[in-house]
Amino acid sequence: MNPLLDLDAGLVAWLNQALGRSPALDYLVYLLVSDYFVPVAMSLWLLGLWLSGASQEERERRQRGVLRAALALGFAALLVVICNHFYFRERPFVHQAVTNLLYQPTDSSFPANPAAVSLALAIGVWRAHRRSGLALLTLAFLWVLTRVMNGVYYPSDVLAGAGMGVVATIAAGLVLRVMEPIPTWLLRWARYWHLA
Amino acid sequence: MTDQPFTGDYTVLLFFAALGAIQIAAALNGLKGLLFLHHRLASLSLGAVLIAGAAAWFFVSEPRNVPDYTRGLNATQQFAGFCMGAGGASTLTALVAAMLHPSLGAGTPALPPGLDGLRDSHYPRLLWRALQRLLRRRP
Repeated sequence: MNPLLDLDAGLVAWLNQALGRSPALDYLVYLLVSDYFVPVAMSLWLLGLWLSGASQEERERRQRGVLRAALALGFAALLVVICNHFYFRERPFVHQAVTNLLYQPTDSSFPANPAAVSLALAIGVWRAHRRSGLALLTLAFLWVLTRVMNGVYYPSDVLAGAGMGVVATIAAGLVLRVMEPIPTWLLRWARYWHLA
Repeated sequence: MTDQPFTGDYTVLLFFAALGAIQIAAALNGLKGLLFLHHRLASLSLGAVLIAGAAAWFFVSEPRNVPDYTRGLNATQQFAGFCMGAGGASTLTALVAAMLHPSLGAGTPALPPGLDGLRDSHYPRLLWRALQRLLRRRP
């Protein structure tokens, strides 16, 4: 057996032990592992970030961060789709007896889509507003941790997804820089109509 | 219960949660033109209640951890739900805040650009003045 694969499966089994012991913890995990809780929380945070900032300069920096994060999310999702086209890995619950509070997805385990998109969002806003970046990183961590805990992803899927999230954020930053002055025009137009 | 995706429920969740998020962000950043209530703490509380209430209703009303080939939503449906919910919440916030505080910004001849204008005026007034400026500029 490959020791790395053993470590992957062992971590899933170890984390999965925590489920089914406390109804309160199970319900918290049920919320965090969901397709909706963390993505909605992250979206609302970005909405709030768009409206925040003491000065126009500060607000513009944050809004550029939101634009970068949104573009990075799109790139990350695209990278995962491309990767899934060439490589399929079965989910941990196929090979291990685990308690799963989500459902049994049928697509590839590798790379972890939640890790890619949530990390792309978090790093996307990191440079613009550290506190928001940290809050989104915490949400991203909880999301992928509960996914591994429920036997939906292996830790190595999460690492690969996180790598794709980082690549997607770098690509989004470069694209926005190359596209200048279009993002500046877009923000100026939105400012004219008091939307930015 | 049907086998249709719960897109409607998700949009309702986003609508009320976005209403709450806007109230909190507006209260923290002094955007009076978006607030339903004058008092900062009351606005923060209203925002928190809207978000918590919407989330509680969504997750308690029926099982939500279901795949997208049954009642769950795929990424495109989630994105559409976010756009409709957050867009609707933004529009309703602007209209309701203007109805609740109709005189906000009436006595201010020059309002600041961008979102800063919402510190002193409601959104329909800002929109009207932006339109007037645009029409004046045209030959």
